[in-house]
Order: sequence, then structure tokens, then C-alpha cells
Amino acid sequence: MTAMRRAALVGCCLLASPVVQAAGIKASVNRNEVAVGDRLSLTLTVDGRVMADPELPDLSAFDVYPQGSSTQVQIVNGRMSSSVAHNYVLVAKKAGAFTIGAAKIEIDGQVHTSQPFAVRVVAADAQPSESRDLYMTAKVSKSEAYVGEQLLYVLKIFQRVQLAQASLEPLEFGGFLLEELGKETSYDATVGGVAYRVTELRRALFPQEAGTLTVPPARLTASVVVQKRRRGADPFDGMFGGQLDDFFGRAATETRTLSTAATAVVVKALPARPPGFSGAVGAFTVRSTISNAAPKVGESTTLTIVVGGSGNPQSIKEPELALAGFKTYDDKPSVNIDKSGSGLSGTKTFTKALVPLAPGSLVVPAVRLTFFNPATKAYETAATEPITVNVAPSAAREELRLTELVTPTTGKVEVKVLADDILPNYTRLDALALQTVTRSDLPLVAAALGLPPLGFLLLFLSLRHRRRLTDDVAFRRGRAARKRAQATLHTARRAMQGGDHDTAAALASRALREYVGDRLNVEGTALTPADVTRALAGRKVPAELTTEIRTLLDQCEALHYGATREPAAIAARAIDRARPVLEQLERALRSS
Amino acid sequence: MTAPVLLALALGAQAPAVDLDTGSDPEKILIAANNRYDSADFAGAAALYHRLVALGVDNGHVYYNLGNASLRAGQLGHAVAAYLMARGRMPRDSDVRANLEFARRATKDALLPPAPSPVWRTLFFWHYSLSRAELLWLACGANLLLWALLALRLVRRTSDVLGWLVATAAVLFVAVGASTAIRFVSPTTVAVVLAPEVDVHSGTSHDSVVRFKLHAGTEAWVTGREQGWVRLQLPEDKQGWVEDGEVAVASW
Repeated sequence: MTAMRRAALVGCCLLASPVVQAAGIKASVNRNEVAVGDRLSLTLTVDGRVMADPELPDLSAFDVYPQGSSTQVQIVNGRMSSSVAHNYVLVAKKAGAFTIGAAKIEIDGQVHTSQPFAVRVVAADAQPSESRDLYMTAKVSKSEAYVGEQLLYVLKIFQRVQLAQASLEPLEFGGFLLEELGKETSYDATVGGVAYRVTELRRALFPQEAGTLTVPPARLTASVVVQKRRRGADPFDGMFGGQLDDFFGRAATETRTLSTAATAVVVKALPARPPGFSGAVGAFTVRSTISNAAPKVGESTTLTIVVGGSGNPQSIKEPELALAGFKTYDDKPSVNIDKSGSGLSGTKTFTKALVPLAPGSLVVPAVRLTFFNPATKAYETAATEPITVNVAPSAAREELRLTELVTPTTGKVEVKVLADDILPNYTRLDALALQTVTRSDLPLVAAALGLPPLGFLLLFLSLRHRRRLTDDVAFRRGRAARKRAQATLHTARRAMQGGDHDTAAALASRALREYVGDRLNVEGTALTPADVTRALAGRKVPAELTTEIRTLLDQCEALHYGATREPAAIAARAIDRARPVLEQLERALRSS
Repeated sequence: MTAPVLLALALGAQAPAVDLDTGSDPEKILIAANNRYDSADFAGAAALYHRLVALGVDNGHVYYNLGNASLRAGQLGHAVAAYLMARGRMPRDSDVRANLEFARRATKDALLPPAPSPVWRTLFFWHYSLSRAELLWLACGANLLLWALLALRLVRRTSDVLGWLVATAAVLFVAVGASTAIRFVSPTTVAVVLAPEVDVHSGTSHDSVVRFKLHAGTEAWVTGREQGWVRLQLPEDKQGWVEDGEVAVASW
């Protein structure tokens, strides 16, 4: 590279540098080219200890998020200077070339301004992919729709950085009826040759009013994990894939705010509604079936009408049917919604029990459903074929009796209310299920009432015991005393087998003294035979047992100091007697 | 003897004799009863519903159907008693309430049916809007919840929220438990007049003074039973004795 070209490059870099020095206040940004929805850090640095906030320039092209301020004090060549940095995060709302105007601040009656500079905002897709490690897009399937027409809203979050935390502000769609289309899905996708992890959310929107409705921007606040690299190569990086970063504190997070652009949807009112319009918007079919096409008079048969298609099945009203010659009982309609596809679809099933009133050929008329189809921009009618029902005469003559209501006041006017009647019988077989508490339920009731307090009591005792073991040293030592003494005796027995009578006797003595020490919460190994006798005297221990312990301890001590001629016999006796003596002592101390 | 069986005997004593050759399979009996009802054989349907009750099928829907069949068959007293039993098992069922009101409108005596005051109904709503079985299971659940929260409180002693939850669960348990105990120890007992007209005596014999007369379907609190006689309590301190067979005693 020649010197001239190098100088030109340096010059260009200086020109492009967004840091501009001004008297008293300077403004800087971390980047001067960003994509729509990307983040830009603006720092206004005010020299001197000025606590007032600077006046921001026009930043209408950005969403502004203040990030607080920091004070910096410097001492250079004995001179102290200070400055306050005010930090802001700017999120670009639209593409274009923008000028960040001059920020102003008044210091000592004099107004200082920063130098304006240019920032270029490019469309989200136009930015080089390597600078977009996290971005978000939102799309609405149509920009023009009819009232009630289904629109698909798809929000995608593209990431190739690790997120420690992310929170999406709740999506609020004023003027739309919102239906969630399943949970969010995640998959891998490649955009412009760069692999991303994509998280996708889908919602079905049904505009409820005509006019221009706005799908508001979605906002996501995410904590991105950034790696603080050490200087030089780290041999552990390759081995553990950076998992040690957290452990050694080299990973940090950076908060980023993403947002999508608002989308306008022009909603048109439905054309003049034809008579019988069901209110449904979408594409629907209708079918009807009857369970028994040849019932007898008075016998029930079920008419099922299923309306289905793409659109909101819940908005479908029951098609009107003129059923002459039948007594009808409506059932509650059931809705089956499919949210898994590219939009909301499903079926709504209307069920009626029909009871024919007279023999002969009766007709269940065609079921007609008029709906608005946005694809054809016209009203359409789906219809079924009429169903002929051949009703056979009943074995017993059906009498449609209405119970007569007679006014109780005698001698006055008798009123016949022919339109009033009792409600029909309950015919489902679950009428046979028991609704009372029987003897067979009693064990279950007793368990449900008795076991919880019992469980609580057990837990209480267990916790109290555990707490006592933790807090009460004397209790803990007392509990472990016997085990510890037996372990020491076991070691003594092994020493005895190895011919080391002195050690064996010393251990037997120690086992006894430690046991007494643990039970009485004193240092056992420091007890002399006389101390042990004194300690046991106040504990209702039988005198003969105390005497035997004293004798054993004295003999062990004598053996230890070489004051005996039969060390083996004394050691053997000490070990043999130690266990029964300990057991007697345990009983005596427990009863005291 | 349990309340349903008592009622079954009382009602069955006056049920018309019909051919009931349906075996003892409750499902078959229920279908046959429903078919008879549909074919306007209401007396036959009522007899079959009675049989279901006698077989131990204790379900509000069966009593409800029995009430419908009795009402259609012109047996107003039986119908009201059956609806009361159905309401005891399904206190929130609107069909039962509607048909009971319908039947009550057909009674002759201008007397208000026995009912707790609206204040009591509002204050102790759970006591009146839950059946005995529902109250018992709710009490079991509240008991479980209370002890579970107390156990959690043992582990987390400093949690204020847990303290409030324990207090709430304790209140719930006491409220529901007291209701359950009252319903089991002292159930609501109402007599319904079965015959078209009955004499209400001042004592437990036919020689005693007839104080007033009651008509089919009229309900009254039962305040005592003695030697085949039932003591009735009506509004305005009207009370007297009727013979056991003249009323159906419903209890829930």
C-alpha cells in the first residue's frame, strides 16, 4: 500500500468518525449505519460538573430509551477535570438518511451545542448479515381485508447469539379479535447464507371494524450474552466450547431492544348483507345427517349439522330450520378448532333430537348457510340436500299432554296455561351413578381426613429431630455416643488380637470415658477415673455399676503405667466387660 | 334406614301395581322407565323409577324423572317429594328447580314452602348450594389443603403469604367442615302431603282434635316422629300431627 493511499484511508476514517468535539458538549454514537429496528448508542458528554440534562435534538426517526448518566473525573499533570456522560439508546424506526441535530446545554449562562452529524438507516434486509446477529420481523398476510376476514400475523425472531433472557411486550391489537395459533415454534433457517435460530409466533387476526387499523410494533427486550475474550489464545476454549466462561466470569450480558415496524391494514366493510346471512366470513361447507331415517312416532332421532371451513368457527350462528311435524330438543353446539395450520379453521356441530309427532313421510329441509367469501369477494351459500324421514306408527299412541295448571283458589277463575309445561326427563345412563356417600366410601373419607394431620405430625417430629441434631450439641453427642464407643471397642479388640495389650486397654478405657463424656456433654478423653465416678454419681447410676467402671478404668490406667504384672488378662477383662457395662450404663442414663 | 329408602317405602306404598317384568338390571329398568314415560304410561314409569330407588340407585336424575312421571300421572304430592329429593342431590340443577316450582304452583294450600331465610342463604351460600356428598368431598379437600400448607409452613417459617394461605385454608375447612357435620348429623327433613286432603291432628291419635286440613303437595318441616305419626311445623306457628302414610318424608 502506498503512503498516499494509506493517508487517504486514514482521512476517510477520520471523516467518517462520528465523534465530534464541541466546546462544553460533544455527541458520539457507536455506529453511523444501522438497520431498521437496530440499536444505536448515543452518548452526550458534558465537560465540567454540570448536573442539568442536555436538551436533545429532534430524534423523531428513532425510539429513544434513556440509559442514565455517568461521571468521570481525570487528573492529568496535577489538573483535575470532570465530565458527565448522558447515555441514550436509539432504535431506528424507518429507513433513510437522518441528521442527529445539535444537542444543547447551558453552562454558566452560555449555551453550548454539539456538532450535528449524519446517520444512515437502511432497511432491515439490506444490512449486511454479519452485523445482524439478532433481529425481528413481523408480517401481516394482507394489507387489505374485509371485516371479519382472517389475517395471519407472523412474528419471527432471528438469532445467532445466545440470549440470557428475552421478554416480548404483550401484543395488543386494538380493533382486532385475536386468536392464538398454537405455541411459539423454533427452527433453524438460513438467511443470506447465514444460519439463524428462528422463533416464530403466529396469531390469527379478525378485524372487527371498517377503516384503517394499525397492527402495532412488537417490542422485544433481550439480554444478549457477549464474550469478553482474553488476550491471546486460550487452550480451554477449544476444550470446553466456552463453557468455562461463566465460571471464570468472562461472559457478560448486554441489553438490546428490538422492535418491528407498525403495519397498517385497510379494513373494508362487508357489502350489503343478504337475508339469512350467518355472520361467518371465510370459506365454509355444511353437511347434515340423521341418525335414524325411519323412526317410529315418539321415537327420538338425532339431526347433526356440521359447519366447517377456514375462518372463525365460533362466529357461526346456527342455521335456521323450519321443522314441521317434529318436536325438537336442541343440544349445546360443540366447536372443534384447528390451530395447527396456517390459519384458524375448524368445525361447529349443532345437534338436535327430533321426535316425529305423526306417522308418514316428513322432510328435514335443506340446511343453508350464507357466508361472505373474501376470496371471491361475494356472498356464497352452502346447502345440504333435504332429508326424508319415513315415520312409522307407534305401538302405543303418543299423547302430547300438557300438564294443566289450575289456580289454587277455589271458586274463582280456572286458568289453563297451555304453553307452560314441565321440563323433559333426563335420559342419559349416567343417571345410574351414585350421588351420595356410601359405606364403601368411608375408608377413603377416613383416609382423606386422617392421613393429612398424621403426615403433618410425622413431618413435624422429623424436622424437630433434625433441628435438634443440628442445634443441640449435647443431644447430638448423646445420640452418637454408643456408636462411637462401640467403634473404639472394636479397634481395641483388634489391638488385643494383634497382641498390643497396652493400646487395647487404653482404647477400652477411652471408649468408656468418651461414652460418659458424650452422654454428659463434657470432654470425655480428659476425664480421670475419679471424674467419671463423680459425674455418674448425680445421674442415678447404680453404685455397683459406678464402682465397676471405676475399677476397670483404674486397672487400664495401671496397665498403661506398667504397674501390673498381668497386662494381657487385665486388657482382656477390660474389653470383655466394657460392652455389658456400656449397655447397663445406657439403660441407667436413659431411665434417669 | 337411610332417607332414600324411607321415601321409597312411603312412595311405593301408594304406587300403582303395574307389570314390572324388567329384571333387576338398573340399566334395563331405567331404559324401560324412560320408554314408558315416552309412551305416556306415567304410572308404569313412576313404578319403575321407584324400583330403581329401592335397588339403591341414589341419583338426583332418577328422582327428577320420578317427579316428572308422578306429576304427569296426577300424583302431585309424590312429585313434589321426588323433586325435593332430586334437589337435595343436585341443588344447582335448573331443571329440577323449574319443575319443582311448576309442581308447587299446582298445590292448593296458600302456604310458602319451608325454606331458610334469604339472609342465611346469602351468608352460608355453600351450605345451601352444595349437596351433602359435594360438601363432604370439599371438606376432605380443604383438610388436605390445610395440612399441606401447614407442612409447607413448617419448612418455610418466614413466608407471610403462606401464613395468609394457611389462615384462608383454615377458614375454608372450618366453614365447609361445620356445614358437612350439620348436614350429616341433622339433615333437613320435610314432609310432603300425599293424599288429596289430610287431617292434621293436635295429638297422635284419630280421636284428637283436627286442627286444620292440608292438601296434596303441601310441604312442612318435620319436627318429630312418634308411633307412626309425624309432627309437622308450618309457618305462623301452625303445627300438628299426621299419620305416617299420609305424607312422604324427604330428607337431604
